[in-house]
Amino acid sequence: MRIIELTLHGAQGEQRFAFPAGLHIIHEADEKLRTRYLNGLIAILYGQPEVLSRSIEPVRQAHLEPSERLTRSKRKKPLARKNKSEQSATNERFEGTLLLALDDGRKFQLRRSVAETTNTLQIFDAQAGKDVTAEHQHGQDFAERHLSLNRAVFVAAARLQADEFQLFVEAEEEVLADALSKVLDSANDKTSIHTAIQRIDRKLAEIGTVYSHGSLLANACARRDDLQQKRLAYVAAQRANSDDQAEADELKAEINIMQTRLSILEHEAISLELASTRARLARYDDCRRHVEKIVAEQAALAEFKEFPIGMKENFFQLYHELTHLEKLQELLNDEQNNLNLKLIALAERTNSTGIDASIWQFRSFEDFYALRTQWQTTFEQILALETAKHEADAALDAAGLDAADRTALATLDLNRLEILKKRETAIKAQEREVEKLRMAYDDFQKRTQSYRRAGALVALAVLVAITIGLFYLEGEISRAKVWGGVLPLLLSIGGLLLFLFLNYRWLLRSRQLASDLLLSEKAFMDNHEKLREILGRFKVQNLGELIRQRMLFMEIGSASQEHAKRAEELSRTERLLSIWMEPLDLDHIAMETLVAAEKRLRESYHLWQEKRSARHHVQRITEQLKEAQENRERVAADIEKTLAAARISSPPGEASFQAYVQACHKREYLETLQSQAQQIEELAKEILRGQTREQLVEEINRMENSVRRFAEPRLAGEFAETRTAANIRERIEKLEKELAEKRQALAVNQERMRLRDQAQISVAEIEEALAIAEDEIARLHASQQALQLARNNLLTVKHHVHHDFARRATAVINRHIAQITNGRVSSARFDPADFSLHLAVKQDAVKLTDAGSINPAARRNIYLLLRLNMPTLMAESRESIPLLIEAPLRDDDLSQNAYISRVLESVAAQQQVLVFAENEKAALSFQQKTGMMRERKVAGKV
Amino acid sequence: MPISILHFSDLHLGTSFSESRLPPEIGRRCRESLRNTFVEILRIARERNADAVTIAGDLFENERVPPATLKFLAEQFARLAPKPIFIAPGLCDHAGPHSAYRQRRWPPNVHVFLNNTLSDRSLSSEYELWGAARLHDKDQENVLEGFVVPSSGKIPILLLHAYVAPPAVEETNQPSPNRSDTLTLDGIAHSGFSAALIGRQHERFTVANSKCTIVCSGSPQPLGFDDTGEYGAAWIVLSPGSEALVEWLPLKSESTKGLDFKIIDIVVDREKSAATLIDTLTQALRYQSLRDSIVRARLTGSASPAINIDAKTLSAEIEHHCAYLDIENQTPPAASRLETITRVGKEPTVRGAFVREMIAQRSAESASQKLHQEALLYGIEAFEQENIVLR
Repeated sequence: MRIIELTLHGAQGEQRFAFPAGLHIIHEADEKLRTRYLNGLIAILYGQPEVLSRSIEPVRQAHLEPSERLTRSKRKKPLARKNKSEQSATNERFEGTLLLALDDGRKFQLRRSVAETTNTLQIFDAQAGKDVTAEHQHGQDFAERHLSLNRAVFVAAARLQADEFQLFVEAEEEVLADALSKVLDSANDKTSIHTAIQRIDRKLAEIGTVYSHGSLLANACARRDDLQQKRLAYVAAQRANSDDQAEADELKAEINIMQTRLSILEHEAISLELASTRARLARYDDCRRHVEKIVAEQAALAEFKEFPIGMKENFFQLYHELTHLEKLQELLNDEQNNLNLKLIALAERTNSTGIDASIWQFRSFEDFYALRTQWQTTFEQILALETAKHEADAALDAAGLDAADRTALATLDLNRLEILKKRETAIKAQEREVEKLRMAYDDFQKRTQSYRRAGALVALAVLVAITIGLFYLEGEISRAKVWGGVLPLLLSIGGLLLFLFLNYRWLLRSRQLASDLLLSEKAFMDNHEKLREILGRFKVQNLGELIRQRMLFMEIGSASQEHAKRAEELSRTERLLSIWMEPLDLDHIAMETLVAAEKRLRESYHLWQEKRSARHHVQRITEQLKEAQENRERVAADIEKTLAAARISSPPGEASFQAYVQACHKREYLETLQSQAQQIEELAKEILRGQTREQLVEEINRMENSVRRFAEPRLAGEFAETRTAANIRERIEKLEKELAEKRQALAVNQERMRLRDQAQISVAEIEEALAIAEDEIARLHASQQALQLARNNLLTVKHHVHHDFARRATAVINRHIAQITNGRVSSARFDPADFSLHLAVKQDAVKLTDAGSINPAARRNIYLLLRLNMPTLMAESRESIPLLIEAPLRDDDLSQNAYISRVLESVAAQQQVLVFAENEKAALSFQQKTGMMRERKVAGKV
Repeated sequence: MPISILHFSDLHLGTSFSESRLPPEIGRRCRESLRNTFVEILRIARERNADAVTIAGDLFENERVPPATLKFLAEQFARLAPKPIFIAPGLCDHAGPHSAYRQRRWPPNVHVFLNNTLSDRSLSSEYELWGAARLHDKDQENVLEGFVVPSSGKIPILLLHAYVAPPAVEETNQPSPNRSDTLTLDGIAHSGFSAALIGRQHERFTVANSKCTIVCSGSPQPLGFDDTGEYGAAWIVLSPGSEALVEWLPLKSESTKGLDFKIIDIVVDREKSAATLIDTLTQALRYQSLRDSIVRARLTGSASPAINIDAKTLSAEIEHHCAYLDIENQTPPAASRLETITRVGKEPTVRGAFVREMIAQRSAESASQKLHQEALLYGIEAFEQENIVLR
């Protein structure tokens, strides 16, 4: 398409602009007017700017991404201008005409008229001169049909703003690729597919999953789970409350039953108390009646009131004593009679013994018995002494001792015996000495005898040796002879001399021993002879025998003396015994007579003792009888006094006693009556317990009323076993205790339910919140699915669109690459993945950025070439699209100019390029900078 | 001698308003209104000196009723003593083993039918009340099947929680096909009842012929946006030999505010901007005096591309004009963006290719049209704005 002429109608009048083919620079002193041309072109083609576009713009401004901030400051001003101009265009009335020619040669004139409420487009076939508006859908789709670009794409692709052009002069490959991508992806210079995907990913991440912490979905699920937990907790609490409620109901029922039981028990207790009180009243009345009866009986026994009951004990004691004394007298009399009879019998037995019993008044049977024992003992001693004397005498006679010897024995006193004992001891010592010396002598002789024999043999041998040696030594004495003859000879001589010396010594010793033996034997024999002479005189063998004989002799003497003394004693005893024996007609004293006397005396003495005892007994009984009689008279007198005091006239006796006893009984009965009356009075007081009878009756009435108030019928047999008040009271206390426990359990239960109810919110509220949470989760899930679907589709279409675009872009670049790079690059390939360029430099395919031989400005120009071809590349109709470039260069980088000029020329050969300079100066500057030396036609007012 | 009965049912004390998508704080206010309604009903019973109060089920919901509500009920019932209160448990407050009707002690003047077979209680010297309970929440047993009231000399009245064919269906004399427990006027009359006090349906109605009168009281208050029509309790006067007189008592009072569910339809075709849409909504609320109502605004028609309908934003702007506002956007989801989609779909860009691809997929897979439509909008938004707003 080529724009031929633009006519704008407005307040400023009609303005017409003619546009030639190829590159054309437009400048205007007023910047607003330049913008007016641009907007006028777009407005005629596509109508007024859309409201939606305006509404979206602020949002975009608010959410610029970091990568987009690179150009933000540069874009700020033009955007502001653009918005301002579009706003003014919207508000103002607009009318314009555009003459254009399509690539196929057709020409159309478009007439656009925009008012506040109308927006009309008239389309005329410029060649045929007819209105073809009807062929288009109300004239709205002319541009889209013939250019196959809608307004947004046309503006984004065909209109290069100042900063965008500048971008392709300055920026790196990645930025340029991104800029291309944004136009291709979204028909604007702000959002690429990559950014869109990132936004979706960010949102997906924001939604997250159930398990991603802090995400919307996780939060919603957590909220839902929390609510579900609360609901479960509520249900559990409700169940617990339900259980507790059931328990509470059971407790209440139990409490009611227990209260009923308690009431029954109390009823029972009051009933029992009533019965007890009634019984008390009855007992009290009985007591009163009993007292009255007692008073009547007391009146009947009034005469015994003064009876001396205090003397009762004394009277009974006296009566008992009197009875006792009477019985005692009877016993004593009987005993006295028996003793008298016994005395008579004893007297008869005494006479039969023939012994005058009077002797026992001065003597004692023990005296006789002592004398008799003494006589017997002395007699036996005399007999023993005579036997000993006879035996000693017989022993001496047997030893051969005559009278002279016995006289000598009488002279042998103890001193001499002692001397003899010492001599005998010395003789025995001498005998042992002699024996010892003899043994020494004999031993020496025996010991030296063999030595002497051996010495004699040695001496003989020596003598023989000497003799032989002397013969041997005759002649010359050689050395051998000295050792074999002389030396033995000398040794033999030495030995002989030694033998001789020893023999001499032995002889001297033998002689000494013999001398000592002889001396000792002599002394021993002398003393031994003397002792033998003395022993021989007494005809004994040794001194011990002599001593025994002397002892026998001494024993005979002493026995004779003792015999004499005992005989005298016996005689004295017999004289005393004869006093006892003679009255018994026993004329001599011997063992037989003494035994007979003893028997008779013993019997007589026994009878005498028994008679004496009986007499003493009789005497004592007589005294007792006398005393009993005195006591009886005294007791009888006392009894009479007592009876008189009791006004009983009968004399002491059984009758008076019985009368007294009866009186006592009546008196005591009277006292008993009094005591009974007193006890009954006390019992009555106790029954009343401090109350009066009237009060008791009143209490009974009150309790009867209470019992009547218990309307509930008593449970039959319920407390059959609890009939006593204590039992009932115990049951009541137990029941009250259980009741208190139940009430406490009920209170705890209710408090637990109350706390549980307080702790939780209503399940309805939970369900309402839960429904909202579940809605939120469903909404998030739906959004997540939709976002995921959008993402997948975006990636798919991106792949297709980018590959298709890359293919066509590669073809375009290859048409111009040699010219742009002065033949250094033979071909290029546009990568759809990242919009990078792969260039073939001398048959090597390398990336542009890696090709060091390629000027960076040339690289940028290749991208600029691509950018300038974007409208044509994007137009599916393949119609060439005019380029509208705003204020392309604003700096002084002249090094870029030649390349830019070359690119623009290359593009302008294929399509119309309109450069809108800011003013004339800028237009000239652009011409100079780009090296466009050809004269350019500058538009002007018509 | 005539007797007067105050009859109601389906109060659903403590119910959840989750189906209406009400937030908990609004739901709480609604439940409070239900309690106040209950108090109001009993107040009327006292004031009019009713001979009895009958409740045909669903007084509360077993699953949600807290002990405090049960205590509240017992207290309120006790205040009406000695007037008798008869309850035939329904599906929501069925008299199962763990039902509050069985587990709690109710005041002596409360008589609950606890068996699922009909039993009778004396109403007066001339009337007796027959009732039965539902024993679980899916109990659809027709207790009247084969039942004939034994002759006792008294006029039998039925109290039951059951589905009764409404007048429109009754005229055809055909029970609803999916309800085995559906009662009909003839069936009830055939069992010998001269009147039936029924609960279960939330809409109130009466059906009568020469033998029998059915009074279905409906809910005393609406329980959601689906409950339309009029609500209240029924005041019934029964006289031997004459037809039952039914008076509907409205229960609107200061104490029962907050249970007025309203749906307003707003056509957004003419709205050019969000501000004008807000103005329209506000005027509609004011015009219908819905300041104390729970309102659902249904937006229909095709919204202008200039209006970005965001329910939350709209609710926030307008909610002070009513008790609660729920925006239900029934405009075509992509209508506001249709022009953009059409325009973009013609672009030779990746974005345009994406739109074309999504439209092609959408038409190919009708089952997931909504998903594709959402994906299409999200894809376009990804190009247009930094932050994609989730719908």
